[in-house]
Amino acid sequence: MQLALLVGTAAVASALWLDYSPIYLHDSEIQFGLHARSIAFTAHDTNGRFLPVYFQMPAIGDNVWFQPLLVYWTAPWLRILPFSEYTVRLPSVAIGAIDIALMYAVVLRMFDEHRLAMWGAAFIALTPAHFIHSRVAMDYLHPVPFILAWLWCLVDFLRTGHDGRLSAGAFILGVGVYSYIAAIVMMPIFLATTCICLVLARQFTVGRAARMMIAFALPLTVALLWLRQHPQVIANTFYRYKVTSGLFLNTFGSVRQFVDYRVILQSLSTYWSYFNPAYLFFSGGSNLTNSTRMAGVFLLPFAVLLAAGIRRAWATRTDPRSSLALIGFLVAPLAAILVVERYAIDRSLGTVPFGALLGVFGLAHLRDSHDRRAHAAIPIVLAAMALQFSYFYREYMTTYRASAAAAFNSNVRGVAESFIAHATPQRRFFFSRSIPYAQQYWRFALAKAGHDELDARAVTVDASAIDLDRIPSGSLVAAAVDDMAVNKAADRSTLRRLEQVAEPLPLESRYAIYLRE
Amino acid sequence: MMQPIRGLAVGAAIAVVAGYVYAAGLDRDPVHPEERRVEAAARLFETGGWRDARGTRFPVFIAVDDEWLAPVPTYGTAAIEKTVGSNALPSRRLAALAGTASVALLYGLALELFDNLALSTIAALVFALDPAQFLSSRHATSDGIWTIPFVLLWLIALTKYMRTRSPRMLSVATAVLAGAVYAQPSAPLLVCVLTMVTAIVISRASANVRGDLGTVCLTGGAVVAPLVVWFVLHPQSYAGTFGAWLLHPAHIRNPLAWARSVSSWFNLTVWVELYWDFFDPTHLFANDTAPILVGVFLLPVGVLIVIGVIDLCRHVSEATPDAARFSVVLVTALLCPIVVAAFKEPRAVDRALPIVPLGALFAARGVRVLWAARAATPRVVAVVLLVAAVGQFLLFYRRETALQISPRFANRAMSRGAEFRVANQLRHIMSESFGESEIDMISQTLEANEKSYQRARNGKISVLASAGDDGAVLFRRAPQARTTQTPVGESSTTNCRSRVEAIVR
Repeated sequence: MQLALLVGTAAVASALWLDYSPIYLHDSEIQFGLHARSIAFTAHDTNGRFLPVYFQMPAIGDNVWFQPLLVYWTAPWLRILPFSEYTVRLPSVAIGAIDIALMYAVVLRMFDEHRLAMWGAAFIALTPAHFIHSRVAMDYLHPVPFILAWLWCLVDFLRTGHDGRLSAGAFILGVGVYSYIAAIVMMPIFLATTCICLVLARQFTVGRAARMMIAFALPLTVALLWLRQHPQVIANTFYRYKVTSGLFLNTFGSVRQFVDYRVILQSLSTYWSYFNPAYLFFSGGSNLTNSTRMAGVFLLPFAVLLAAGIRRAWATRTDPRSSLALIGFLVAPLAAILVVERYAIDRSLGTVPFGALLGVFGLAHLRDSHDRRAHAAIPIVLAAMALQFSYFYREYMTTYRASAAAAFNSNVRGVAESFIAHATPQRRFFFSRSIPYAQQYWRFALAKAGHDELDARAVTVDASAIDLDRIPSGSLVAAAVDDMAVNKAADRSTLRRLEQVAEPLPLESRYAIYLRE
Repeated sequence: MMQPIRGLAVGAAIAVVAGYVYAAGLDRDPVHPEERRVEAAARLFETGGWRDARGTRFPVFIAVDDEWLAPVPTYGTAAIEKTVGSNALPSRRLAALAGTASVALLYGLALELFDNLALSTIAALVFALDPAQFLSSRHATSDGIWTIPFVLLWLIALTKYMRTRSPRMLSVATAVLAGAVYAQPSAPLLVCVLTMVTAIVISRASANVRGDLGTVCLTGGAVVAPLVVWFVLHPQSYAGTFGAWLLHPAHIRNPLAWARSVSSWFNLTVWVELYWDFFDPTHLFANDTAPILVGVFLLPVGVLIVIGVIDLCRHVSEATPDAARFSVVLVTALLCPIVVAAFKEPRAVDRALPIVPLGALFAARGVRVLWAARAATPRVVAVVLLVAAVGQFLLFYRRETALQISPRFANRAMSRGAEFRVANQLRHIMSESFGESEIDMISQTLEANEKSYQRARNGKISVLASAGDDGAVLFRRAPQARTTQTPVGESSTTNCRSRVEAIVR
């Protein structure tokens, strides 16, 4: 009952004003949403592929293929609910709620205490990074339920010795590979973590390891079969990550680069940055789509619990459950360092469940301490967490909207909606390339408004490369306000500025609509 | 207790060797503008009868070119100049002297902590051969070597106080620590932080806390009294000295504004980020931007330090005198980078140099741990690590003395950059475009660019690519400074420039 109340409250808090903050849909959300809608109604993606295992995102780049889980998870929702910003994001809220319930189950299995399990669930619910990612239709959060389900299986095995749990955990990790690109790296690492825990528990046998490997590989056969038909996906993905010149390049590059100490040192430095308290407790991810920059990955008072938890887990490291929490927390950022990117919480959300778990260790440590000050610290820390979360929530629903507007490509939605409002039977629509992903936002707005037929009348153009004088009279042109080519045409009176697409105060308009006279 | 004469002889020998290494070829590197300022002030003292440019006799802070210099390096340089003349880079000689004295003091501190000649010798050698110590002892920049002797003397006196509870030792510790405020710009903040350490030590070790705290206040007050008198007589100097280094005048007038500024979320974030970043292993132990990968410490020394710190953490709960004294050393070492964070300069080791000798102490503790093991392997590991450290230093020394441009300047320029991550990206581009052997320098930000441009004009380096006044600039050493030179084609230069511009934007 208490759990239902907690999960329900967290879900409602996450589901409130989903289309209000973050202020706009990110281009990735738009494309995920369009794919999911297409799958829901036609069983084909927007590129015309029948139930693909990986989704190509040509608007981002021909070599960009996204993991499928988010699309297939969202599709049933969109089959039932009307297509909108809200409903596209709603499935992520459900993922967040599942995480909270799973966290409860994991802690309960680990500590056998309802109260601690409730706090564990509360910790993950009160984690800013978790909250933020459960409100966007992006796949960053999707590995987390798989990690938690695997954790439950492993902890249950450590308690009961039931072999089926290990295989189930490995199978879940295998399925989790489809959740997010970083999971391709992280899930095998968690599989290895399982083996380490088995060794620590003196329960490792070759037979168990083999069964786990088979269970892990089983879900991957689907991808292998599909990739045989579409081998370009592997080449494209390697090429894409090769560009970022991290350890990934090192691993798959030449032998000389493999031993390139510079790359290794850069990766080490990046790894170090993932434990920077400024990142963990003050500012969070470096990208405004993943952070408000006014709260860390975790709340600041949680640092006390995390520190106490690390101490407790280290002191009891011979217990495989303690080692599991510690190792999980330490390995969680590994996927992010492969591309040598600092503070990318989106790539390392595995930190969140392990951090919350260590927080529970910390709470238990303070509670069991003989020091009165430790006892006194508990209510203070928990109250401070509640206080900071309410401040963060207010910030998220107010200031963050404007501060993150540019990170969400500003008001392209407003451009598309303005076009729809000005649509007449003969009117044509031109998007300048100065508006990012305009065609995708346009299609999303059309689908939402039920005017898919207008799509054929819109085209994206390079305003500096075409003669704007030759586009049909009465057409509408949308461009960034600083688009030189369009501004020149406006100066020549070829185009008349119809309106500037409003941004939230105090931001100035970034896009404008022009009418071809 | 070991034989005092033998201990003294070993300490003197190490100091002599260190002094020779530090003082050899001091004129090799170009003179830094800060060194020029110190020497100009010292020369003024000599010609003007200990008056600064404003005509003040025996000034506490010395005015030069609208800047204020700390008294320790300036008066020290003047004293050296009187002895050896102005042509012999007296400011650098003073730095070398301070470096040598630091090695001797560290040896003394190690003797106090370990009560073991071999371990003290190892600590002193590790410190003497430290790259940051070596470079700081050869350059008289405004922030640098100057605080180390003060901090080491303070630690010697404080640890003696912990052992003996002698108020006299406490007075010495306080006096020395307070004296450090005259050493360099970053010192006042460091002194504030270390005063708190002193107070905590008193609260834990003293039998007469009130009396000892009174001693601290009286002694410290007496030492900083000239400073107070100076600011009363010359209030205009405050803004350029303590106002810039410690507490802004506006914050004295409005403490609430100071509290708000200090506790602002943004400031806290930056401080915490810079503080943590200082301890980045690639900065402390294996800096890929420096020659032979040297960081603040040599890489093998880093291993020993980690072993030493882990050993202390394992024994810290045992209330032994050894654990207590090493805990003070560890806390001091951990607190030093607070200054770096407060000055908001990423990885500015010159502002936190006392961490270097303290690291050497933990390296020696690491050796002690390995040596105490029953098995032979840890002992072999200890020997191998020490030999490897010497080897890395020799390679570094050879590379350092072979270069016309000190990599230290490159590192400083790098560390002083407002956006050091950009520099990392630039470095990577350079390595892609020119290959490692072609790269000598990378610099960014206007301040760094000015210095580098100056050297470029002097023909020491040539500009490869530039991305505007406040953007990034790539440099490489001038052709005459190399024996073999591979010409860099125009196309690659252009390519590099465009990529640099792209990144900076």
